[in-house]
Amino acid sequence: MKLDYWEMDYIHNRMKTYDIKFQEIYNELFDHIVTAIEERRETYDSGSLEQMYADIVKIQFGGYSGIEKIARLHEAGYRAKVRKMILANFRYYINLRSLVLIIVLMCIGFSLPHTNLITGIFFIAIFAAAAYSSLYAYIKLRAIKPKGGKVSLVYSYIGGQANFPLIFLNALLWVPQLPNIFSEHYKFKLTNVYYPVVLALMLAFMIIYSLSCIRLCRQELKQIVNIDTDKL
Amino acid sequence: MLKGTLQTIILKLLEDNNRMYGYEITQKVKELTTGEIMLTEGALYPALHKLEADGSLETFTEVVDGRARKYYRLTEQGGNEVKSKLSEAQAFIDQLQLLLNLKPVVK
Repeated sequence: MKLDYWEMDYIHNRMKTYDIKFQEIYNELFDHIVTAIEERRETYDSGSLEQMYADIVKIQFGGYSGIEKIARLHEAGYRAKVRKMILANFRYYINLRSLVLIIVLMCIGFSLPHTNLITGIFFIAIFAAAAYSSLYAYIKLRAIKPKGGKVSLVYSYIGGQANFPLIFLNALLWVPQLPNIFSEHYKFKLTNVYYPVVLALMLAFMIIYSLSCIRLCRQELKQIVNIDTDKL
Repeated sequence: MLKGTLQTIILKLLEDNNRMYGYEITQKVKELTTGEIMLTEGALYPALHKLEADGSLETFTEVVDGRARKYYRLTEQGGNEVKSKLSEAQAFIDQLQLLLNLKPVVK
């Protein structure tokens, strides 16, 4: 027997007490509990909703702490999955074409003079490659619409991976500044501490990493379904 | 239940049923064992998520009765793993039979 709107609402309210931050984890547990209650009603149990809910959570999930433990392990599992996927995608893009790209960029790097202008041009190119994956993820992941103050697991972890090249670029820019940063007369100045060939290699890897992130986004967005509870 | 057998059970059920969701797996185990083995959600979900993280399972979501339902199915890697896990389980049962001198149950 299907639960009505108010019964579902009761379960939502009870589940608010658990520390479940991510929408996808919440959806899975909510569906499990509702299905279990519906099947109980269909087969043998004519007890109250409150009692059935309490029994299922206590016996099947191990109570409040059991549900939160499942949520924590789910998050950890997803984090491990994303890491494996990004590495697999990275390996996927390390092919003959990318090796040619790396060699060509390194040859260009070797032939260029070590000047501020060349460093600046390389940093702009690295920024473009890094920002591309961030922008792509930001646009595509907007399709995910979590509800009720939850955040999306996919958005958080895929977005994090897509932003990594920008974080790396930021570190690349600021690490050479560190010795002078606490000086009274400090002013940011792009230094050419990196040889063009090093920057060319970084650019190649940044392009490959960005492509890996875009592929990861596409793979994970396939499983996203938004539920508009207002339209039910 | 012996350690490691839960993953084998999940993989085998998914091989036989193509796609399943969490609650369905618990009910299938209960039905097949006539209630002798009760799979708790506290054990099931971590095992499912571990298999998913390892790349043995993939997931997809469908809207059922107005709520999102997450289904699990085997990947190609998972399909290969079922065979090796089943042969491992069979070898283990054979060893147990030898050690404990168990006689096969005839129904």
